[in-house]
Amino acid sequence: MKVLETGRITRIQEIRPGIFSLWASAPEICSLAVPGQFVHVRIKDQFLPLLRRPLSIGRVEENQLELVWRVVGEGTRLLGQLGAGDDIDLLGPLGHGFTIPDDAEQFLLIGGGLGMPPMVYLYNHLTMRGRKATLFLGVRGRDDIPLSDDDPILSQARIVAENGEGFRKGLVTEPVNELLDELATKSTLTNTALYSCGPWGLIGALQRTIPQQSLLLTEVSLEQQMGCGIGVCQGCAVEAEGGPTPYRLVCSDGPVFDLFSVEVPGAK
Amino acid sequence: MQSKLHVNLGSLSFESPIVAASGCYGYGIEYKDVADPRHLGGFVTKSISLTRWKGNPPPRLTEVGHGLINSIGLANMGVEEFVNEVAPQFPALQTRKIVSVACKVMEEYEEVVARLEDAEGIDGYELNISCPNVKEGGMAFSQNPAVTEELVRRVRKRTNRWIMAKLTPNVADVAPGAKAAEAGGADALSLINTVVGMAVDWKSRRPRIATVTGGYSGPPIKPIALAKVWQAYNAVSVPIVGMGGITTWSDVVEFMIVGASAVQVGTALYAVPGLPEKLNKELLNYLDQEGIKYLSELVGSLKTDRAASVGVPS
Repeated sequence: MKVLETGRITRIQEIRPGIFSLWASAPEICSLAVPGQFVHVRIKDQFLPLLRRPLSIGRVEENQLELVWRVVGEGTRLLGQLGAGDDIDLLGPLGHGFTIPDDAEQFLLIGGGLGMPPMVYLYNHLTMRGRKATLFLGVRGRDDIPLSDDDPILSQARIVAENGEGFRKGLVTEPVNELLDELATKSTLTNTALYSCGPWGLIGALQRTIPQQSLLLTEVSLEQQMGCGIGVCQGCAVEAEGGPTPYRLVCSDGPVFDLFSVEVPGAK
Repeated sequence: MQSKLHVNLGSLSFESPIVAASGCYGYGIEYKDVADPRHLGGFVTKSISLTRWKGNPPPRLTEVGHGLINSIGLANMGVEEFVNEVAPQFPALQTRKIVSVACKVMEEYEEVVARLEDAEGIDGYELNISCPNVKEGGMAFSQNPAVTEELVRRVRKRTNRWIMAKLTPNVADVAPGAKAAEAGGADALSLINTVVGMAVDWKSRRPRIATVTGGYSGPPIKPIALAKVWQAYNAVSVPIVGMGGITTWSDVVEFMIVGASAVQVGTALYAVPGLPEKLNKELLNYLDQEGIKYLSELVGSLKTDRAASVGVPS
């Protein structure tokens, strides 16, 4: 079930240089959404930019949802110019969310840069239900962290920065694999579900380092240029197994796919 | 009483001149949760081929200012699945249902239409002979008037249903192709399909879609579309369905003034699925304000005498 709903912005903030967070009141979408889904955002009642912008749903708290984005072009720039009290046109919730197996005992969540918001949504969803989740965040440096300095999630996430900058220095796949090794010695890997959202580089690194067969579930949420958001235009194809053709649509087949079913562009 | 927005396209009548364009409305069932199809005069499905087509590799689309370049490659489920899974849902949809057909060779158009004849609830066909994004067939059909005529003639023999031929703008003059489609037995013509376009990322020196060139759509192509519709209108007597960059009620009015009997909205639906309802309301308001009884009175009413064709200062 998807709806068109006018979202009233209640808070909007530039949390890092060029990275924005907004909270909008959207009761219908909030009541329908599950972690991993996205909304297709029309910023203003005009056709420049022409298309909507697909944004992962970040946190959902009661009737409000959070969207986090980096300014990369005209649409994201205009979105950042809106203020509290302004309305945005939301189509959602769209796509399939993450699978949450009843028999999973451990959940590993790995956000890469701007891929973090849906991981935070999933993390809150799991921990509120008493499930044991570990949240990782990989960034280049402090300026890439899509969370504000006073965000309580910051202290709960294991942050790894390529530049160090006061965080563990390196790649986020390193502590992830350390934890997986630890779980393997306790023979609990088969009860572990792993989720990720981030750039193709992170997805490729996970494919190369994660012991595929040992885990209960491995899922990744993808991003792609998108037209309609509901499977009509077929514009957001990615190379992935599991459908009747070599391509699957991020908007309607995804955005969540099995980690090992997707073909990282340029990997072959 | 007939609606003020009612239009006739030959033997087929539409309650509104607003038709959803092929490729922008899926198979006709995807949008019904968020926008009531009754506000549409009709819709044209995504093009159906003889077998399932996987489409082109990603990336398949890129936004360019006000416009969009796409190269989907006619990815579709094929006629068998369409007849078995989708078409049975058509009778419940209260709007005109036009099925678009796209194939690699003429014989396949005949085969696909013959198979579609088995399905109820289809009001007509749009022959897509103008896709710029496939290696075989595609716009090559529409760029060759002799081929256009033979293809339409062959399909005409297979069906009594209404047929519309969709023409390419990627020719010097659309008139010969328009006349050919009419001679072949088309009930209506639709134009324009997308304009061949390209976008480049100057940093990486790579094309922004995988097939290098694609089809350009959206508001920037409206002036091209108006010119092509006007040329076709002066060449044929069958009704014309105009499209290309329509986003407002005045765009619709302009297309009708240059000769379109109805219009299709395409790319704009991705942003505003409810656009047809809005356009209908605004068109009714326009008719009231101008004291025009029926929207169809506008068709081909362009004034070309010198005295009237003054430039608009800006």
